[in-house]
Amino acid sequence: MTSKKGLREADFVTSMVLVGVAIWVFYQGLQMPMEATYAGVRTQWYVSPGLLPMVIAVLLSILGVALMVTAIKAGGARVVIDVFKTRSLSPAESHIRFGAILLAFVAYVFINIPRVDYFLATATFLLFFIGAFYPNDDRVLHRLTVFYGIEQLVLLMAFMTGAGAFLNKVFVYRMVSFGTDGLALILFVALWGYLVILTRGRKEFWRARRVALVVALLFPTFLTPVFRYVLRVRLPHEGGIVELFHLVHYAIR
Amino acid sequence: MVVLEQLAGFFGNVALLAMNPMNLFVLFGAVIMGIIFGAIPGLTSTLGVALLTTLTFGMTLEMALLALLGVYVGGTYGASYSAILLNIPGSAAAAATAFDGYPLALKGKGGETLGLATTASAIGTFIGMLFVVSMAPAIARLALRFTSVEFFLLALFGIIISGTLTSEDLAYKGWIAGLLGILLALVGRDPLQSYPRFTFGIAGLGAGIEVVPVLIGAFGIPQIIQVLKDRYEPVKSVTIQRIVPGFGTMLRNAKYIVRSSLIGVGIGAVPGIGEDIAGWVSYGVAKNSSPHPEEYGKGSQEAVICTETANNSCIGGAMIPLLSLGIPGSPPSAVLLGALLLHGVNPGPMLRIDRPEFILQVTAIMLLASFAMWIAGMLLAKQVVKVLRIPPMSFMPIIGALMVIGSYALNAKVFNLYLMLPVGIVAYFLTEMKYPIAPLVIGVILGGMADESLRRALMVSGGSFMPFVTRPVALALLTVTILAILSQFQSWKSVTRSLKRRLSNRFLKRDDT
Repeated sequence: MTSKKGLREADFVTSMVLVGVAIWVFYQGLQMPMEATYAGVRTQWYVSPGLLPMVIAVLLSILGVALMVTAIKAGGARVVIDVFKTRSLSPAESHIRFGAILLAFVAYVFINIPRVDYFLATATFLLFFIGAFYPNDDRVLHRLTVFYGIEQLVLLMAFMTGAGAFLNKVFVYRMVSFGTDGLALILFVALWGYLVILTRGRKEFWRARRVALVVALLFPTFLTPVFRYVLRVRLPHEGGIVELFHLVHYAIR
Repeated sequence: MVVLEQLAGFFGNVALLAMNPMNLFVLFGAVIMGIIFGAIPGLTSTLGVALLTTLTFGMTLEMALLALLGVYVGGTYGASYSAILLNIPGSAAAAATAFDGYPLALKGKGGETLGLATTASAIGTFIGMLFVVSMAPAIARLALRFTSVEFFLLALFGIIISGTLTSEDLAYKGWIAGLLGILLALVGRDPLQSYPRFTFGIAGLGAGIEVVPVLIGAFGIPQIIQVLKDRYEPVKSVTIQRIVPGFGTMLRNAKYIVRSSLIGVGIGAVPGIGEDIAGWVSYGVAKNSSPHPEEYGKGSQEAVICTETANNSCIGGAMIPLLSLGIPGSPPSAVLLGALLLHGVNPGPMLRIDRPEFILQVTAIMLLASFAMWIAGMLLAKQVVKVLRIPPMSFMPIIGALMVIGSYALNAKVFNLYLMLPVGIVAYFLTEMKYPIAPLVIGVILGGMADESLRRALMVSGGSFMPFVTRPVALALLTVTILAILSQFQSWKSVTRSLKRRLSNRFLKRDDT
């Protein structure tokens, strides 16, 4: 978004979003109690919880319109016309990289962290992230991203269809269910295997895949005890591997 | 007598802190971590302070302050490494350092330039500290007379000024970012009537938005995306030899050091501006007043000294409104404010009453941090250079994992992550469209205060806006805020220009007669 024209096109779209948000905020502000009796207390308009939201809505709409005018003057409105023109379907390289970063974070935060053992979730995140970007090669990045995307889809389906819950019921050891952890472990190994296949025969990538595996395993090994035993924070999901940490910790304590 | 008491208290604090080996260990560790964070392109002192906040949760307040201020001071200075040796500035302030630092490094003076930057940064931090100890209590005393009217206008002033000065493109993009920040701060039950605002029935939003995860997301996610979005091109770093700068060189540049420190403190004290602007303003002033402006950009030691002194003295400047008014002067100090609130410290006018020793403690830590930074900078420069050779693809994912666990660990809520990630992605798009992030963050922090103060002020006045213009401080704040807004309009600029012309013509005529 470095060119002035691109910036103004984005400004035009943003200005419409801003005006829309401002109208919605103003409407929400109007729904809040103005002059009424709230919790037995008679309130005036100037004490209303909707006062500042409405003030902000008015200011945002003014600034949104100002942004729109500036964008139109600089030819930014052409973006609406351009939408209907045929555009190249192949995304730019930076967009693919952006997509890979987004996939890594979204899968980690929304799929893995709440449901998969913290150690495994973090190790998989790091293995994909470093494995995809460290080789600095488009082919490796594209293929690993697609593979990781499919893996995450499988994991999501397992949770949504109840297969994960079933696995957790079947595989229980010392009151710890590790069925989904087993699945996550298989996906971790598969991801590593695919990275090895992708970089096979190319010596310049060996360091990259070694770094990816070492960091993916060592970093959570350091992080898990620090947060669990030093800072005493209960981890988001404590499954089989974190249970293993507990066993070791309480054995040596 | 009061001054002597203050001085005795200050040196007592310094001695107490310095005599505890654990304190020194934490301080040096934090400063070195800060230097590494600042030195690595893509990582900033703001992110360093944000990530460390979680780790300090179990520490005592004193140790947490040592760690956080150590990272802040070290990180602000650390950006000069990549600027001087790689020509890749770790922050916008360091871009000014790179202008002259890199040409000097190419001439074989890389080590000496780093030494100059280290010493200038240490002196800058020290001078900034002097201003904190002398000015923060006085401003806090004055602020005790402030009412809700002044606090509302102060929040508004901070957001508008920060938006105006940090925006790369149109100034009102900064204002929009600030307003969006306030809007985020309004989510949750309102403080006066407990009415749920913009919660969409989500229980996690009822208590409002957690500031630290928002800060981690807003500063961290855009950094990671920006670094990894483009292909990595390995850069050759310049080798360094002698680091310790000559005493004569520093003495020759003493007047520039003092001037740049004053610029840094002044800019730091303005809410939400920070080190980046301080570095550039100092560079600009130095160039305009230099007898050899043609040397700037080609390898001027003077330029490096001015920039580095200003961005580190800005730390002290930024601490003044933070400690006395509860308003952060820079993005890292905004994160620091979040960390202080987590530790149960409420910066603002009441701080002197609630914790009379706190300001002295902070300044004592700043003094120790500037010494630690100088020692670490001189001893570890060659080792830090090795860190610069690590490709960012290996540590950016680690930063990502740290951000996630850091946001979660604040109160062991996965919901914090659901907040951190979307805020980070939105912040990335805003950054791409040239919206500054600092006003957004300032808005998130000051939004609650603005809301409560506005409604309290109107409650006291019975709905009248007259106190906004009848109280002197309020009127001054309102005038400056309105002028800051008007100054961005072309019509206002032409009006002031013609007014100036008329006035000068009138005076010239009078002189002729």
